[in-house]
Amino acid sequence: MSSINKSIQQITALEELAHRDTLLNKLAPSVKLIITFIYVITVISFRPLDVSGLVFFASFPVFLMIIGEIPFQVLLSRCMIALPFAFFAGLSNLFLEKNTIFYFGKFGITEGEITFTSLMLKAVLTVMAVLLLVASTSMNDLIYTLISLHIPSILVIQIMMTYRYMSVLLKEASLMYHAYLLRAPKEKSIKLNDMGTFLGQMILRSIDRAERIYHAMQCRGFNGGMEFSKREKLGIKGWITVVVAGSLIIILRVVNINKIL
Amino acid sequence: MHMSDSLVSFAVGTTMAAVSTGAVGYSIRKIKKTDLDNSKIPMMGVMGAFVFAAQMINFTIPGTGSSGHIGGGILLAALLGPYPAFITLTSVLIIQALFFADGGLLALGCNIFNMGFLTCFIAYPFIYRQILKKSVTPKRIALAAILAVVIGLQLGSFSVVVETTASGVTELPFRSLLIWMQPIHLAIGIIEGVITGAVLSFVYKSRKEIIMNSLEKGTQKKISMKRVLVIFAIAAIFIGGFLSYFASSNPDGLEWAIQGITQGSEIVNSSKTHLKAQELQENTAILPHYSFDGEAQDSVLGTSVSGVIGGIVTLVVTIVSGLVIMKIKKNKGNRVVTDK
Amino acid sequence: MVNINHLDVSYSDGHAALKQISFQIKQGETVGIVGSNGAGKSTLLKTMVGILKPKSGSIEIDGQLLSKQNLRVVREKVGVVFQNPEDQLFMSNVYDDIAFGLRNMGMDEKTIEEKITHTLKSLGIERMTNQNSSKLSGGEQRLVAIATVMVMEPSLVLFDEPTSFLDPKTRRKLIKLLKEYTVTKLIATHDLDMALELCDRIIILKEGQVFEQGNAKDLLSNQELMERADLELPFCLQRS
Repeated sequence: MSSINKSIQQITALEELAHRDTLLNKLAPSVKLIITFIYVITVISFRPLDVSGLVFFASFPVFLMIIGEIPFQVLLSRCMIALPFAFFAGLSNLFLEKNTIFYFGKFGITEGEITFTSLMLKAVLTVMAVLLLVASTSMNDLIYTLISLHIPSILVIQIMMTYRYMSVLLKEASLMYHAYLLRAPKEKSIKLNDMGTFLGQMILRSIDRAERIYHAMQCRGFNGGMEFSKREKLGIKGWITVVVAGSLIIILRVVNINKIL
Repeated sequence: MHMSDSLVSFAVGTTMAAVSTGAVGYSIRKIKKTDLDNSKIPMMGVMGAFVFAAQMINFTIPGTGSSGHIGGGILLAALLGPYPAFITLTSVLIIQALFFADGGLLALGCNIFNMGFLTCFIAYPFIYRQILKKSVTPKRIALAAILAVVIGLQLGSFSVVVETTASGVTELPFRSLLIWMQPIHLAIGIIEGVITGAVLSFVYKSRKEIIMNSLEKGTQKKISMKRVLVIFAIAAIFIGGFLSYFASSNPDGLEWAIQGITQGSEIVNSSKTHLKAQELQENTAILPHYSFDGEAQDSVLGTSVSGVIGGIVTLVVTIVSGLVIMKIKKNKGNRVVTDK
Repeated sequence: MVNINHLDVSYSDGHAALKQISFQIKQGETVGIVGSNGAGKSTLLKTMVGILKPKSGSIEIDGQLLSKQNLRVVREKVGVVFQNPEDQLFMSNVYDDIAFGLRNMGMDEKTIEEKITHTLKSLGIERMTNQNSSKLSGGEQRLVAIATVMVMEPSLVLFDEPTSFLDPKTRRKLIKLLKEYTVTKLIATHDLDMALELCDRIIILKEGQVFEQGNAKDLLSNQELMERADLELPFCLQRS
């Protein structure tokens, strides 16, 4: 149960962050999207043994978190959701790569420990990057960005409508769930036997809703196409930001700051 | 089941992205061509939202006391038909990657393939529809759903194993990963299958036409479905083969590209800069080789310690500069207020 | 303005939903449709915009006889405010939701912007332009839903339960707004007090048939008639 409310909260929390007026929020959404992609790809491109290079990449999310005025806990708690799988997948490295590569003082550092750290760092950094994007960009802006990047409108409409009705259906599901548990006080959650009927009812309701939405669309002349407001394209300023930030990321990847320091 | 960015390599991520983009493009064309019924558009959107809501409903797994939730691929395919279902699942996965940190940007292609493509274009047509070919009864629907979900999930988890091993991020050998993943997903699949079956037979009992419509529509497209599969199989093998060759002969694509750039400048520049470029190249990756002899250890230790220190210094510098920027911004804001 | 003649509508299972419905609405009139649950109010509204097809009979709106061929023309003339604004607001922000209908009419973006600004101002909700409709309150959503219809400048607007889900204060605001909105209106509702306040005439439906029609005050204050129609007197008339 609490998971329903939690996910509604999660959505609203990010939405609210995205609707504020910070330096990061002011950046053009398409700029942020492109840079996030460059960042994620660059982080992923680090070899498993290259941890120290990766450390520098932690600066980006931290910096953005500050200028985006995004509370640290929000992002961290989100990261936790994404980590377990990477953690278990990486765990094997700890046990399978036992040869010590170098000594840090008295402690021997094994290959596995390094690759494990690198994997976890990558997991945190990539998740952070995406969350920072979403926490500073409203769904609305994201939709326009996808349109301006020539993502097919059918897919964009799907993303838009799924997002729009997600919270509506979640509320409905939450009500049905409560109604069920109130009449089955001994149960912790829905019995497997009742699940078919429960979800089936939800489907029928959803289908009815879709029909009503379709009627409302028809009444306003819908004939398959959907247009969106035209927003300004990636201007010179936007391109400069992309190029500057992009090359900064790539330079940091290519040049080893350790040697310079 | 969702793969995260940290588990895929650049080569695997982009290959799967290319395959999934192709499948999405093809499905969109197919929907535009054949599904002239505009009512599908809001239907897909709402059903996408339904998958989210349904995943939040926990149920009790008998005998274990633990709880689970459903995935929804076969469910969507049975309600909407494979192409709209695939597009709907794609948008669900995109939203999950963006808003719920489930999956990632680079891993999106993998996830769309593992959870969308394999269920909508393999498990649905070859299992679900085959079983319901002769006759449709609630029991047959349940059976078809269970088998399709189980096989879809097995394929999906197999694909996760292949992608993870190909990416080379974990040291776990292919076989052990397989032995670990498949049984877990068999258990998940059986439970999810039972529920999907129960849901679909409920829908069939109360609104027969919904199940029948998508089944009938599916049959008309049977021939083209095979063609799609062949095309995608060839594309996947070609792209995958090419990229993995590319990836194996060069540690990774980006590195290779960087090497190309630095070597390109080498021709133009003098031998002195050549040396510098090479030095730069060597520094690109700390710990460039897997084994170190005793002599190298010192220098490696040196770079690693300086690496950690360097990282911390950079972090401090960024935090300070960020705070300074914020301070300036706030002061500006205050000035506006006081001016008024 | 509206001329409905001997309208028969059946559900897909053959059960008759509307039987021999006939009535007229004059230009500028506000007409209420009242009746108990299942009397056929929503079915009537849906049939008038071609969502449901009549078995027999005719619907004429603003000189256009409703048929498959001129469905688009009729829909441009008739606006519908549905019962649940959540069904009507499906885009990612208020602006695009209001622009949806205009864009389907093929209008250019500049005209669209002018019209939207004007409509939002007249409803006093300009500040909502860029908001996501799921973030709005029930009352605000209702206003936006009305704006999506108003902006298309229809000559007839159908309202399905406009005061449902609203708190008393918001309901009052809405009634005032509807009073000021001088367009031909057909309002299907259970809110008899609102019907009494807004409507010139009412049509009472019972079991899919026109049970009675006439002056709103006369019918709604007739206790005996209301009881026969499975209805009650409006609250404001109950104690007097």
